[in-house]
Amino acid sequence: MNDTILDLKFYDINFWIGENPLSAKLSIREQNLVKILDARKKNFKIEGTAILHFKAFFLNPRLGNDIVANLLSTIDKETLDVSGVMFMEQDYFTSPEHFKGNIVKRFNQGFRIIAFFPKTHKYPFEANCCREFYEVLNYYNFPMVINLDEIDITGNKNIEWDKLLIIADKFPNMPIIIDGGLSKELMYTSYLSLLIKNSSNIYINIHNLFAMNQIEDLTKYASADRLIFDTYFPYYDTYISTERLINSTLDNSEKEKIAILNIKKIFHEIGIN
Amino acid sequence: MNYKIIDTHLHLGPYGPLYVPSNSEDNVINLLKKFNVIKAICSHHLGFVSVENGIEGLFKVLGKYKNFLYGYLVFNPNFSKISLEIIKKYIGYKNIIGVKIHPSWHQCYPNDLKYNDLWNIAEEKNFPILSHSWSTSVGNPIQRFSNPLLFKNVVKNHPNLKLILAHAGGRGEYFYKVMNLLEENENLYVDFAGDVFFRGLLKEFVSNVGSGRILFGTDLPWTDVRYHIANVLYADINERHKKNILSLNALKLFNIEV
Repeated sequence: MNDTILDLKFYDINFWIGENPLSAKLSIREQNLVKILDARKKNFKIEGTAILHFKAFFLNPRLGNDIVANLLSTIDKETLDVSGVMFMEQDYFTSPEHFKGNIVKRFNQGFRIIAFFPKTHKYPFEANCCREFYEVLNYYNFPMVINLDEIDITGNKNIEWDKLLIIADKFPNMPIIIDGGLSKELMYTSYLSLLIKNSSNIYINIHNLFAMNQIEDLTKYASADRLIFDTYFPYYDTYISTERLINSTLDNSEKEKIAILNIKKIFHEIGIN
Repeated sequence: MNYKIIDTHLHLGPYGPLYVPSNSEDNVINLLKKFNVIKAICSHHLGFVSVENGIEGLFKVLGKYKNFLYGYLVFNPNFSKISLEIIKKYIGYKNIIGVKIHPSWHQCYPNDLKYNDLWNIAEEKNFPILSHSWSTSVGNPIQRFSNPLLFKNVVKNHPNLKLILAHAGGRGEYFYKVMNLLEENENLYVDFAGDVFFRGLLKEFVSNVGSGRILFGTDLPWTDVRYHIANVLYADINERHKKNILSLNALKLFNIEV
């Protein structure tokens, strides 16, 4: 399918592991992690991976974060570039100082993104309610990811997009990655384009930019600087995202930004020593 | 790439809520051709809103891409009389090779009596019907009209009806209900048009019901053809199954010559 000569490498920021209580098919055993990452690197040039754990989502954020921390500690970083996506733990809400300390702790364990799941885990995400947390993330240039399903309060695709712009505007050093989850992003081109144009720090992951030419259109009308590669594995096969980007009509430099450079830049700018 | 592809499910013409800036007819057709699609079967968005205006839109694009494009007429159960008149007049005429129904769009359940004459004519004249099918959910309540299980008695009562359940049921447990329907009815077909790329799903369908009744459909411009091609080419199924899905099944079902 691909006739490009570009040797495109990818960093996947959306790779889930662990037991998914809703589906055995969507469950990935932790002992198979290295084998899967090796295969993805060999077959699809996934050079780096940010890992999320189903237990953090379905049961307990702290438990999931701890499991990922342990996994990260066992992987040989010389052969596999891996990082963690941490979830907001309940006790972070006790004080911003506690949150700040834990951001540093989790960073040192290998976490590079924090995920917000406000609907599932029952906490707010708005700029004022979460001001103290966003101030910490803003201070460290630490990226957050928020899932569109999680801010679709009615479950009927009525998303208050402006709230995202307000957060972005108030905390400009905090990269905000919008994750499509299983939402129908294919109908959201106008919203996503305006989010990018009206902010300096909102990014969109690409795994379900499914509409015709949607990746090309967002690049053309917004910017390749704000699209970030992901696969949403194991919900989707790895090749669904890699082949789409490889076969896009973007310039090679735009493909590389989306595939790996944009997220590497975000990680590089995190201000924790 | 050595494969030749037939896209059995795409749409042409503008549709407001789907904002695709590059959604011109030429762009859609050129994108398909670029990725080895040799024939395509479309319905016109206009046809869902007005069957009379839709036929004009459809003939216009069929004339423009006459060596490449085939068409579905649209049956609107809320305008069943005029829909049937158009179908009777044009089916089999200049690359018109089937009928599309969309129970959710027209908010009419497929087991409603309004469809009965359509099923009868389709059996009599031996043309396939492509129907939207989707899972029912709180977040997408309009899809209750397209619950694939509502077709169970339709295909049972019309054993010669060739029916394609688009999207294979759409989401979750409905895929497995559609697999059961396929096992029970040999004239039932599916496509995976739309955003239906879930990991291992195609292989599961092929393992359970074979590849002989799976059609390649994109749902362009709603979904980009590149996803669908990767979904078949990289699937863990053998070459024979891939060829069946990409083109051979469509050639046979629609009696298309290449």
